[in-house]
Amino acid sequence: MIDEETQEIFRQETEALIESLQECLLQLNSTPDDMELVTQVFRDLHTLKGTGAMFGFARLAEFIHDFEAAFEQVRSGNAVVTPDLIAVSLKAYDLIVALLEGEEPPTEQDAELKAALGAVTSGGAAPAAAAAAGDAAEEAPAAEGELEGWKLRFKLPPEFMEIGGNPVAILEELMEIGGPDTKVEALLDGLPALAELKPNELHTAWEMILPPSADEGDIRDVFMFHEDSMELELTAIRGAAPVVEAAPVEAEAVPVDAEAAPAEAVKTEAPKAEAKKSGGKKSGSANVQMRVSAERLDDIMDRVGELVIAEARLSDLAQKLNDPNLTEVVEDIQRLALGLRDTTMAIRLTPMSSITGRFQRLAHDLAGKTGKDFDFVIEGEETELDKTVIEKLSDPLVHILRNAVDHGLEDNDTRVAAGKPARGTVRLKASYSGADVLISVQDDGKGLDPEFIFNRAVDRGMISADANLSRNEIFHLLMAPGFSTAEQVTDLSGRGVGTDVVKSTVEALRGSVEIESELGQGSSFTLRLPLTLAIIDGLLLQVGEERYTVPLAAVEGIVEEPEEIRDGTESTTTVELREKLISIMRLREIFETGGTRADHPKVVLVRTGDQQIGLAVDRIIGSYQTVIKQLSPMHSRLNVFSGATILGDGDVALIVDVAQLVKAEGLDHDNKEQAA
Amino acid sequence: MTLELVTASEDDLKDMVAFEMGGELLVVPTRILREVLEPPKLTRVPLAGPYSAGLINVRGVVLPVTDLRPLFEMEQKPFDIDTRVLVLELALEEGTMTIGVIAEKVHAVLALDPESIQKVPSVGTRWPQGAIKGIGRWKDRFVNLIDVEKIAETYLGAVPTDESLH
Repeated sequence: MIDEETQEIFRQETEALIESLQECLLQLNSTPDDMELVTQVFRDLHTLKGTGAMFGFARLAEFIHDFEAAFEQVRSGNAVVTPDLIAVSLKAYDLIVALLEGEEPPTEQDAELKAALGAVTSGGAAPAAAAAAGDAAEEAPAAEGELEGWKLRFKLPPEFMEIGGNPVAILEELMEIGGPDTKVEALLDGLPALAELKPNELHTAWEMILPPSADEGDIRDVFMFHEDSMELELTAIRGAAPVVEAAPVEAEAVPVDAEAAPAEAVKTEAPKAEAKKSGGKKSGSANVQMRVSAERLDDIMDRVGELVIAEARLSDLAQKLNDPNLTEVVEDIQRLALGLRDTTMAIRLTPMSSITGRFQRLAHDLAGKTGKDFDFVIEGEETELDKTVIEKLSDPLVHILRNAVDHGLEDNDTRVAAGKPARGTVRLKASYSGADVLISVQDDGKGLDPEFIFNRAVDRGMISADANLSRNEIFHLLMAPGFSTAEQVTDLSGRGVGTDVVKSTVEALRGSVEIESELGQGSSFTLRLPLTLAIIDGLLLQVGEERYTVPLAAVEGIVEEPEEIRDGTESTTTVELREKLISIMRLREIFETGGTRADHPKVVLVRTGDQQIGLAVDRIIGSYQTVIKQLSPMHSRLNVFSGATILGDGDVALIVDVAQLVKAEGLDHDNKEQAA
Repeated sequence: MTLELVTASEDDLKDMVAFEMGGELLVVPTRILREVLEPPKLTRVPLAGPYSAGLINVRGVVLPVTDLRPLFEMEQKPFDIDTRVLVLELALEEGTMTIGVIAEKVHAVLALDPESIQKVPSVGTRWPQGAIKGIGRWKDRFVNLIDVEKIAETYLGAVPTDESLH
């Protein structure tokens, strides 16, 4: 029934809602009295229900309806937030996610969860109601003026069918809400004369009488997406009881429309904007969002890239012509082009916080399943990464986090015995480092035992017993396919599947994984990812007759090449610079460039990981807007180059990936430690 | 094999572009030819192995250029007035790849008689495994139908690097 495209639109629509819902539920766990959160949960559910119904997810909409009802109980003070409620809600949340993803979990689950939701909210109601009896009596006068039914009169817009609407479906939906006692009458007074009748226009209006069992919110929900262009009158038919008193109750019952629908007979004029706003993310922030396809963004990015290249050529030319008028205009254009570049790139960036919600949930579940008490701390949520990269990181991080809790943290008794605080800490941290982004998961658990890992790898036949491995290399065995350190395979982790996924995913993103651990003190897994932006600030260098670019963000300084290493021809050497011993890579030798040597060669100091490395080059040309062009499969396996760029004069220059070059030359830690 | 080859690319055979390298006449279907360039300025890619001639800028697009002469064990004579780069668009399994191929001289577009196409003898030729689809005749010369897709997949994708040891 639902085609893929619709499903995709729907999925995107609901993504933010789902994240918000989960986040609120988890926050409620620690601050159960926060009514604002309860309201937010309620709103998210309500909007999800409406959207779900519109896209034909009947089962979803029906289930959420009951979920929503449970939170309505909390909202109106008839129930309180308990750990049980949160636990059930999270399960309900999982079911929603499953349904959204098109899975078909057994239908009994719906009923079970509904029952559970009902139980936790009505069970809690007794004490709450007793305690707040006074309030309740005031706020919710039990029997408002006898509701005898609803009178509904509506006229859909004439173009309703042309835009793909189906009035019959609407009627059926209303009949379902009302049940067999519903009365329907078509109002034909809007029908034009036969000669003027356009068969594809809708002229009929309807009047319905629905029984009192029908829920006002349900009725309004049917029209949720048509409200702004239609006429809708919904009137409560009441007995003799005073109508005035009922007003606040009504307003409570239909929160989304609260402002637009003052209780009694209402003509809904344009509540759509209102409903959207209140149903949106947290406190309806004024941040208007727009969804654009990634393809279109890439197009813009490409154009901006071209613009930056053209701008560079223009600057080149202006410099040669040296006309002050021209220079002025060129400087203006330069400023505009850079501004445009920055804005465009920012569009693709998403903060880490967009995915941390699911990790919080995971931590919550893990604590429950393992019985280990721990604090889950997230730092650097504001760190921004390309959206596609962030999405790809989610799975690897889940694996690492699971392992940290399952294998890293000891149980509370063991911790106390070891003189550690009973509560463990797991830290998820994101930060920038030079041209890289670091995302690490640290735990203060028992740490990794190199000997144990080594023996396990030997047992598995992964390495030979006499292999000479550095500590670091031993840690990296953890991520080799088929390795599992768990003594017992648990439900959570230790299936030996997945940890190698961490490595392959990160490497596919041109990143690397760093593992550090002290036995008894804890471990940390760090994902190091290059900022894969399409345009970077580069430093253009000359080596022989060739030009290369390095990311400027990684450059920490430029010095004259010390006399004592000028004549060497080894590809790497070390020299004391500023009272520190630094490894130098001679690009001339590594790249076999040939050409004449400059009289005053330079050393560019770059940071990669936690070490500083010097690149010996002939000349520094200057900083340069570098538009990264991907290398074709023919060269992309050469990972010492992260791409190529087009210079102002139209030539192509390669972009050096310093971290990979360091690795290729054997100057990274693995090899260093071994040598030491 | 000959029959299969002929039926698969009979249309191609009518429209082949011929170029010369190391004294041999080679042909590729004009269907995959995007353009023929005067030799542009090449940016060498260090560590990329003998088949990589470097990178060129074709109207803002960076393209790799391959020199197939080392693969065919031909002498690499310096660029001269006849040297050209054929820009070919290859349909590879992983997607399309646009690549420049150095040609010492580009001849003409010609049609080959399917009847004249023969299998490549498995021994005694300079052609590496899979590089040639068949050998045909045009006027009184042998023409070699090179399989650029196969060459790209077999010989150009696998750039020898130190990294493969890690």
